[in-house]
Amino acid sequence: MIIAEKLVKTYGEVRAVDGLDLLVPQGTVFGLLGPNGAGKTTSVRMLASLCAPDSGRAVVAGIDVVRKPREVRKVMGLAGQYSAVDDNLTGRQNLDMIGRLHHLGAAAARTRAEELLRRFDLVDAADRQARGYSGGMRRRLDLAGALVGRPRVLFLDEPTTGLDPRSRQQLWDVVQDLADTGTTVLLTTQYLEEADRLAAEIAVVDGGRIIAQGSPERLKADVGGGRLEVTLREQAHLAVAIEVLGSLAGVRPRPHPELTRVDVPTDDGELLVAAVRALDAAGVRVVDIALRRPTLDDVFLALTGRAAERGAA
Amino acid sequence: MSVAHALRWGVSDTHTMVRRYVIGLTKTPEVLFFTTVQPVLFVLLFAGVFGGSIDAPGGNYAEYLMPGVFVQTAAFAIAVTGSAVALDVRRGVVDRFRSLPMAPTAVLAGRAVADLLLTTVSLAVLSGFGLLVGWQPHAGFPQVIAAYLVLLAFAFAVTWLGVYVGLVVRAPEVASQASLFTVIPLVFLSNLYVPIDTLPGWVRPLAAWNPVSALVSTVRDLFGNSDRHIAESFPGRYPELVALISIGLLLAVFVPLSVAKFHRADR
Repeated sequence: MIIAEKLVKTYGEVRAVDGLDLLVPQGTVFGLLGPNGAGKTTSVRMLASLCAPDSGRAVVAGIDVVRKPREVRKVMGLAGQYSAVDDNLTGRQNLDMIGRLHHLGAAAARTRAEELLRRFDLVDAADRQARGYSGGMRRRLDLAGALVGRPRVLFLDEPTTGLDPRSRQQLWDVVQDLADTGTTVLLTTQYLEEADRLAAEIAVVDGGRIIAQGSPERLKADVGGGRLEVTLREQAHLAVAIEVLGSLAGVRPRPHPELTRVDVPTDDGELLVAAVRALDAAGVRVVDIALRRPTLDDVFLALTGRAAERGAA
Repeated sequence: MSVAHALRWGVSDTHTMVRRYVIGLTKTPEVLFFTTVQPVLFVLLFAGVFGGSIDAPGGNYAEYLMPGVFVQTAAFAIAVTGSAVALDVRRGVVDRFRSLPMAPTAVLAGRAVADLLLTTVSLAVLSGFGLLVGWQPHAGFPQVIAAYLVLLAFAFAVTWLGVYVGLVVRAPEVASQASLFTVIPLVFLSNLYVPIDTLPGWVRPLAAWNPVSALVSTVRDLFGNSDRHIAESFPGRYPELVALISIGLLLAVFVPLSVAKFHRADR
């Protein structure tokens, strides 16, 4: 369980985190979503005992982070934005070292390193220097390092930034697996897909504050329903397509700037079939037509768009 | 947690960290190579180029020079420390350590001990080279051991200055230069290469009170190599005292500063 109450951290004039309140139940994944500079990393650093808040309270696994950082470190794991891997050591030596620093004892540290190497598909590279690892391997080794102490709470700061799709998928599977076995995970991300995929609850942060919070479904619902997205083969058909789709749906469709795509706000699944027929009858050639559920992109743009306007006023 | 318990983990964690750094040093032999070759080069250049024109006490410049280059080697090792610490901060390795339930000071103490080992190797190689170019100790075995102990104590103390610079500067590319900046003026405004009485007048008081001069004099005295003390100044009369106080001050100031900085380390 993770609790944050009115956490504040300022750097000079900048309020990096401006009154953060969080409650993450045990065994769930919580996503902190926001652009660069939103205060995500600072929030994680405070919760993970790496920097002290100016005010407010943080409790991780029942332990007050500010008062007992050492105790918190026994039950948490952290994988930061950069892979905190020692290039000079092999993968095995990296994990073995962390095991010793967790005071597992030499034999147990070795066993734990072996387990994690197997779990993260690093056995073949185990005795090579980490210097030669690919980006995906480094990130896996880093996450393995965060798990050496069998943490009850895991902090992941942008765990898949810069990873290729396959490594990202692997990492997602591991995080899902950890959550399923009772680990509490707080992850920050700029990827809406990632938060959508992993997190049961999402907080959208901007300017050091939470500007929206809820389940991915709830956030999407707040932004509005889905839309029918039609991609045309030829720009010349745009006017016809807008007319056909407009009369079908009873709302005015929105053409995209590239003029070969039209969006129709709707939640009606039957509209898709009707639209295909009507467009075909009108001689409009369609490349792609699909009913899109709102994505977190939509949520985010809508929310930060409003926030930005408010900030400017 | 009891004090004994904390101490035990502190020692164990430091040991783990020393292992890490020593493995690192073996994987980057160029560090060992250059930290050892650099002072050899200094000896060759200074003894070869300036040796003839320097009025060395005792008439043998190699004997005068070697204790100084020992001190310089210990001081310049700070460049390795500073950049290594800064690199750990930059790479996020320090964050990883700080997220572990380990003794936080072990990260820094491990670095200091590992760099001390590096300096020990450098000093051993340099001593061998010194014998080749005509330097030799003239004192008894206990004094010679004492001379090396003073050198290592200084090396250990000055490492903490490097640790602090590395934590403050944070850019690995700059940290080694920044570390050297702190010691280069001390090394050159001293009796390390030439006797103080041959320096320009305005430099002499600085050189006389420079703790590096006191250290060099102490090491020369212990090895039984000739030195020319500036008898009218306090450090000239009691170089051992000034040297030990300087070592103590370095530790008293930079160990706590470094530890405090480490606790607040931010990338």
